[in-house]
Amino acid sequence: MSESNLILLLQLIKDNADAGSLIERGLRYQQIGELINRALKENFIKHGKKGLELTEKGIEKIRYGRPDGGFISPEQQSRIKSISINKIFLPKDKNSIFEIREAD
Amino acid sequence: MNHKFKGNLSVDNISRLDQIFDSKNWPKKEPVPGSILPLYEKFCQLLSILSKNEQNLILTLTKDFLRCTLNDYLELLKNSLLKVNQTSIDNSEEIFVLPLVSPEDEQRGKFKSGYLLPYPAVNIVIPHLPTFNGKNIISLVHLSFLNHKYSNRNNALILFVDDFIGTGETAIKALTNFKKSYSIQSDSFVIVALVAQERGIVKISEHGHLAVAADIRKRGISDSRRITDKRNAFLLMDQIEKRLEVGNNFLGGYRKSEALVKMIRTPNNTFPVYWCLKSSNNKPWPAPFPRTGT
Repeated sequence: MSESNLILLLQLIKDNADAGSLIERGLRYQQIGELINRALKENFIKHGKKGLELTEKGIEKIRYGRPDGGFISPEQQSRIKSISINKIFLPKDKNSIFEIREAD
Repeated sequence: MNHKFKGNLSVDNISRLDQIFDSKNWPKKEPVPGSILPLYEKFCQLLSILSKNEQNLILTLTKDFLRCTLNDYLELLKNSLLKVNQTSIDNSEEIFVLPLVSPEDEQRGKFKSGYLLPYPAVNIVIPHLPTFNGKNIISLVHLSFLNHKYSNRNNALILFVDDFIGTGETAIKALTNFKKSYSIQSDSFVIVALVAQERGIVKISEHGHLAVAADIRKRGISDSRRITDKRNAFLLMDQIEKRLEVGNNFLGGYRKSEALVKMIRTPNNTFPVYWCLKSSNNKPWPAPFPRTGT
């Protein structure tokens, strides 16, 4: 999980995005701060003129072994444990990412 | 849970806040009074409801923010007492240490921060300061004791102590009251604050009194060396403060003090974005340094 959080963090820095997707994964801001420090320490990111930016090592990290070139990050929070083939998983409405609309 | 609140806070700004916390040695996990959130999360929550430009302003101002805890008080007290003029000490026959409290607050019977300081000043700090060596030093609860027990004093130096001076109004009121009802010809006196706004000290000196402080603070925006576009900074702060439930007197901090200080209790001279608990639409405002108590 922490490896995948690191990769998501690098993607967010690459896209100059907000930290919302890490918060959605259940991380506290302080944990994000620690993750940033780890990424800095391990030389995946650096302080540039306009803020944090990826290093070559960071760019490689998000590309490595990824058919999509590191463009897409798995939605860890949507994963569920595997269930038997005869069961159907129905997410709770409040957890659904789809908007529920009444039929016209 | 509050911490799952999805906000508009960039990774970059989390990193900037992280650096501020580290450089100031602020405890990230310390709970904010009246909240389940630790200080760091509360700060992030505050930033996340601000626009990008507002976030920049608050991060810039927070770099200059002074957070003093009770643990810092003795060191600050020592440093402020060291600033009392040596000649005044040498020329005095007795030194009295009293809390700086306005007559209104005295009448209301409120416990003010000034009451905290005379006892440790006389019993913990001053005995270790060579500048006060050989002097008879007495701490008093109230000015009236000067007239009762010490009415025959001669060349007394009276130190009025408090933790913070903002506009200087309280100090001026207290000294006016002292001069009117309690002082005698040979008395001299100094206000000793742990932290003071520079403008408060100037105001006090304009009234002919002397004040010293361990840390003298400039105004957060008007005197900032970090902020070049001050007009825009004020516009942004106005924009934030419009969303707060605070009286006009407190916009920009009490009487526009523009303070960036938290003592045991955050002074109302500090920008209300840091201490106000309610937004104008009656929702809670995530203040990292709320003014607890009354």
